[in-house]
Amino acid sequence: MMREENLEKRIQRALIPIAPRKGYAAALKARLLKGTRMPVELERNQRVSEIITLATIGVGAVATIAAVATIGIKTLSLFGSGALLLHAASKRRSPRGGMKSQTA
Amino acid sequence: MLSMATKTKPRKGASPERDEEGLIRQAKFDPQAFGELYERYIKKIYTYIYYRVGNQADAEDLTSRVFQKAFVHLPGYEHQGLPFSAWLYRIAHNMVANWYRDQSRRKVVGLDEATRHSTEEEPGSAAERTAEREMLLKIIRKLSADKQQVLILKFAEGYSNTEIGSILGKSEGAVKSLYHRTLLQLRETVEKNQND
Repeated sequence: MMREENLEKRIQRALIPIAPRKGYAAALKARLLKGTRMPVELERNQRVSEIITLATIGVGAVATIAAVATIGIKTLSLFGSGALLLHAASKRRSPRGGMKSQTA
Repeated sequence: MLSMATKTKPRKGASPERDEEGLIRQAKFDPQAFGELYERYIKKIYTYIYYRVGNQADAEDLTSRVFQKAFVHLPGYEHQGLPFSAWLYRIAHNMVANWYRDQSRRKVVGLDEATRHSTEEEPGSAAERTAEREMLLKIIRKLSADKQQVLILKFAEGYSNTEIGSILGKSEGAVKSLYHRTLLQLRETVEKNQND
């Protein structure tokens, strides 16, 4: 009688290996592999694109710093020359002082 | 920890001519090699998941996810002497655990589904055996996850205690003890069920 049978045998009968539905395994395999690049390849490509991105960012940063520095220098020199011009103009506008300095 | 690389016998469906470690190394670059690993383990992983979740649709969905995850994470896999299946079972175990969390309810194999896979029924006792199987599966599915794992790996997959130990990250002794406790609990529940 089944009740008296060894429990292990009963479990063995209950837990039989199960094959997936027909076509499922093949379809999944095709989905996994067909037209799919391997992760290693993807990783390599990703690394290359990361390097390109980093290089682009680096070049961009250097260009920006150079542009800001150039603008700064130009502005300073402009202010400098402006100040000199103003100074010269102010000297020219005050004849007494100018005369004084000339006679002295 | 026992090394499975030397202790694992080539199993049914495996290609003994190719050693697993080499195949895994190749599979990181070659889809065909991954396909071979897939062929080796698809039935085992499917069977494991099927008995854990109790229905074909979810078993298929989770099996797909296990192999997709394995495929994506294979470059980071390092062979440490454990069988490749241990890694796959771990992924499957985590997937099933997440599935249970998401479902927040436990499904039980329906009678039609449980019997769909029984192929060796004797006509005279078919109904009795079906009922017996249905009852046992219900009881098994109520066990804790590690007890279910031991039973599925032992009976449905045919692994030895040593192999189960390497898959679950336990010693052979711990597996034996867990198996013993599982049988005791099962026997108790089965007897209680039959007396009711």
